[in-house]
Formats: sequence, structure tokens, C-alpha cells
Amino acid sequence: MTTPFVLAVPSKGRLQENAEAFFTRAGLALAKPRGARDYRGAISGLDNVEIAYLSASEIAWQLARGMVHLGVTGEDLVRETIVDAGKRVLLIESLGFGNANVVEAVPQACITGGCGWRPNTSTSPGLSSPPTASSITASSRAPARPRGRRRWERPK
Amino acid sequence: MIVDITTTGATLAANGLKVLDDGVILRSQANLVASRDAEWSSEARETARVILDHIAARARASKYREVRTRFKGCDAALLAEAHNRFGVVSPFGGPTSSGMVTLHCPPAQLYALSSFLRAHGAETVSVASLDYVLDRDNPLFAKLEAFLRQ
Repeated sequence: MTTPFVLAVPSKGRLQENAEAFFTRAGLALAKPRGARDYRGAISGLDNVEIAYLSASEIAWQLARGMVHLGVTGEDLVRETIVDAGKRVLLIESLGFGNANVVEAVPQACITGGCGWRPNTSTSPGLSSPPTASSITASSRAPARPRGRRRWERPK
Repeated sequence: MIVDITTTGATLAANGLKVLDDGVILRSQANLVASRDAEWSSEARETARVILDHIAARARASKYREVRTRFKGCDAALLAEAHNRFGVVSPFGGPTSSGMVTLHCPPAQLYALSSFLRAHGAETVSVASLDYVLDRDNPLFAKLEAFLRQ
């Protein structure tokens, strides 16, 4: 019995749809023989391939540890999750979906000059010293957006 | 200052945040990624070769359309000019003695190419999409092999 070849595919949302469509277009039909809710799948015609349905960040992690052979995940997650990514993994091809930019942003008010973020201003009420980067972040950052709906939440 | 991941920037804007002018650290998209530390037995390599062969065949096909025509003046010199001007390749070689030829042309150059061919004598030019183009070379698997050898 040989160990299976593991291909990791994102397990939810548009990433999963796009990844499945990508493999289907290439003539590789992904199937879930034990039903749609299963986290293991197969490719029809390729006997020793096991599809592992995982979150995109888990795929990056498992690629780094050699637990899967190939996987579909974001370049941002590869660079964020894997130390020395260029030695541990190979980006074989970009797939044209799942676009995401890693950006630096500041409160709009700081650009237009209205947030009182100026060094050595004695007139700012309530600020005895200029705020540090971390205090700006803590006070002005919007609450973290939940990534995807939680299972117990009802769709609106 | 915050660092976040954004697709359109709409959520950042809705929360009163603005991306700095030079604030894009990484433009990311989904990638097909291979692990070095997975167990790359000869069976595993063969499986990867077959999967990547499918993917490469589809990628190669989607970069071109198939253009067919036949006319007397279609010769090697004309094809060389089409190659230089429109990025055309002729996967099955030059025109036959009767001037029959199959070309692969980048989608953006299709109209320019068919105008060029008609101007040189073609009565009819047909264009069709390609589903798969299977070359002997498999550039994606070659890349993987080179990486695993390092």
C-alpha cells in the first residue's frame, strides 16, 4: 500500500468554487465520494490522489510541514505563515483568482490633518504626549471584521 | 497605522481608513503551491506530473486561439512575418504545399492576424477556441523537479 498523494483545496466560499472550477477546466474533476460535507475527496481517474479540504491558512501551514504535496492557497498566507518560504515551498503558478492586497492604511483623518496626530502639540485636548503608533492603532482601528459567517449565525 | 488584507478597499474606506499612496506591500492571489518536505516518492512525482500536465495543457490552450486557413500565397516568409507581428506560433509546422496552415494566435491579435491573412490572399480564415494543448514539454513539472533537486 503506497501512501496517497495529497492535494489540498480550500474548503469554503468563493475560493473553493474557484479552485474546483480551475481543476475542472483542466480536466481534473474533484469528487466527494462520501457526500458534500466530507473533508476528503478524490479526483476521478487518479486513484492514489486524496483531496484534503482545509482552510487556506491551514493549507499554507500543512505545505510548510510537508503534510500535503500540492495545495491551493494565497501567496500572502504563504509569506505570512512560512519562515523562509522560498526554500520550503514552490509557487508553481498563480491562478488568477483570490486576489487580495496586503496594505498599510491610516485613519482618513490623519491624512487630512484632523486627528491631532502631530508631534509636540500642546493644544490637543486629552493628549499629554503624542500618541504612539500602537495607541493610534488601538483607538482608531475598526473592530476586526469576522472572516466568514460563524456556523451559529443565521444568514441575513 | 494598520496592516490589513483587502480585496477592494471598500471595508477599509467604510471604517474611515485610507490606504497610503505607497501602501501596497504585496499583491497576492491564489497559487498552486508545492511542498518540499512532502514525501516525494517516485509514485508521488508521477502523480504530480500527471496533474501538472493537465494544468499546463489548459493554461497553454487558454493563451491562444486556433486559426486555420488555406491560400496559395501562404508560405514560410509570410508565417515568419505573422510570428513577428502578432506573436503567432505554428505548432504543426509550416504551410502544406497547397498553403493549408494551422496557427495559434494570442486572443488580442486575432482580428489583426485575420486581416493580414486576407490581405495576402486568404478567402476564409476560421478561428476556434482550444480546450487543451498538450506539448511534449511540461514547464510546470520541470519547475517542480528543479525545485526538488535544489
